[in-house]
Amino acid sequence: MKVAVLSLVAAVATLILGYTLSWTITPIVIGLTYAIAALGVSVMARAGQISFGHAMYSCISAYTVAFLARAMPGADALVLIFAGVAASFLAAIVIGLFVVRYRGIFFGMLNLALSMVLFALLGKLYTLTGGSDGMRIVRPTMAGIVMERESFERALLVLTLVLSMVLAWWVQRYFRSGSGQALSAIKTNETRIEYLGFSAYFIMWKGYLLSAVVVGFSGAILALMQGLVTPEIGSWLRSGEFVFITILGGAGHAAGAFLGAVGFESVKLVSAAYFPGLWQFLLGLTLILVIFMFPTGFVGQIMKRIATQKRDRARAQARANATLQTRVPVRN
Amino acid sequence: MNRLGNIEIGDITYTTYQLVVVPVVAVLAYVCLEFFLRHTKLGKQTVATTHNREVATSLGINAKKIGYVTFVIATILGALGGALAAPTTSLVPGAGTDMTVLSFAVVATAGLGQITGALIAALLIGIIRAIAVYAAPELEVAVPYIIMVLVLIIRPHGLFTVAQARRI
Repeated sequence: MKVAVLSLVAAVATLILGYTLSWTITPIVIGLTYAIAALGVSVMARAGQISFGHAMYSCISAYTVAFLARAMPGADALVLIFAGVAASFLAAIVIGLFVVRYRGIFFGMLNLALSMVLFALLGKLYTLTGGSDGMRIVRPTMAGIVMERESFERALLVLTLVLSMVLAWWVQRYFRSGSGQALSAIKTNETRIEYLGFSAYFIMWKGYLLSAVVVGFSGAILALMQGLVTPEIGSWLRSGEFVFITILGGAGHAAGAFLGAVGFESVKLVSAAYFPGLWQFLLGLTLILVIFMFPTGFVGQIMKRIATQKRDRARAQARANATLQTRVPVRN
Repeated sequence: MNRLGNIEIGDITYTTYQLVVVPVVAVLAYVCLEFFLRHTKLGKQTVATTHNREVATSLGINAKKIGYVTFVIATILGALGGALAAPTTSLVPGAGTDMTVLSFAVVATAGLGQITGALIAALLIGIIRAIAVYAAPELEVAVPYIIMVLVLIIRPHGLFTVAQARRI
């Protein structure tokens, strides 16, 4: 409940910031697409599986948006987003069928391999995809309304904020559900979960589909915001950034992806503004410090704090009860 | 200063450095590593720790130290690879990341912890990639990964991994 209220406050604050300083809209929306993508990666991180190729789904979604916008010039932004997400869902159904059999480095590298194949194809099929120049997307209508650039970006900001909250709620709900609990059990002990009668394959597949859909949303929004899709959206560097944000924020709670993205984007923005030659250095330094100080990410640290507070309070309560009980006979 | 010169095989000119020096150093490094792991006390302790950390610790092996030693050896070998590659490739600050990702692909193809396997897999992937430059230049970047996917579909734990019992 507390988290929901805090996220709502954060979303409203972001909205006010975007409306008063219009230059912040682009970094905020792009930062949110990173957060949504990291949310998808954190689903698999729950099972202890780090995918180094999830940018593939954001890329599939973004290119679907671009192709559809070219084929159907009148298509609405909402339709485009839906189509992009559907495409990454369909791709995940097929790819997931064999990828979820693998664990650890094999899972991560297989995802990376497939994303690299897609990346190479998008770059080389010049006549179809425009190669590394990418494809331009003409600004579509939003919910049937024709918009100028500024109002379109504002509408996109509102849409992205709403989507972020809905997706975070969805992922958090999944984490609490039976399938979500079973997914984290894969990390703890996979053999035991199979002895309990669950199919580890099916649990992983379900988690994989959810993560692909969530990352698909991020790709579609990114494509609409930039008005341009390039193969870079699917490069392994991008996947690496998603993993970076997931580690920074922690996979224990859906809020981790957003905290991680805020940390990542602010370090990137501040260091690019004040130390333009050193931004990668500062980013790396931040990650090292965060891993040393909070090995379970921001969220892990916060959860630990809350747990200690609860324990202390319980102990204080127990002590108070104990003194009360000793006093009682004296008073009688 | 003496020059290493070139060697001609058929119509193709190779530099002696590429054809002789690099392979010899690679084989030497491989032999040294195998000798270390099989015939020295520290190497045997390393193998024992990778097999079962708990049992190794209870037998008096300092697993933390072994982890440290392994990391140092890995760093030395990585540096050797970079030093050997430097004269024949262009040096850019980002060269390391590409190499890291490719090495992971090789390791996944061979199977974790398979040293001989990694050597063979690296050769296999390198040669097929070189052929791909001629045969299908569009896919050159993706070839190592395509090989990896094909290998992992047939052998899910890598080419050279021996199947292990699952622990409960």
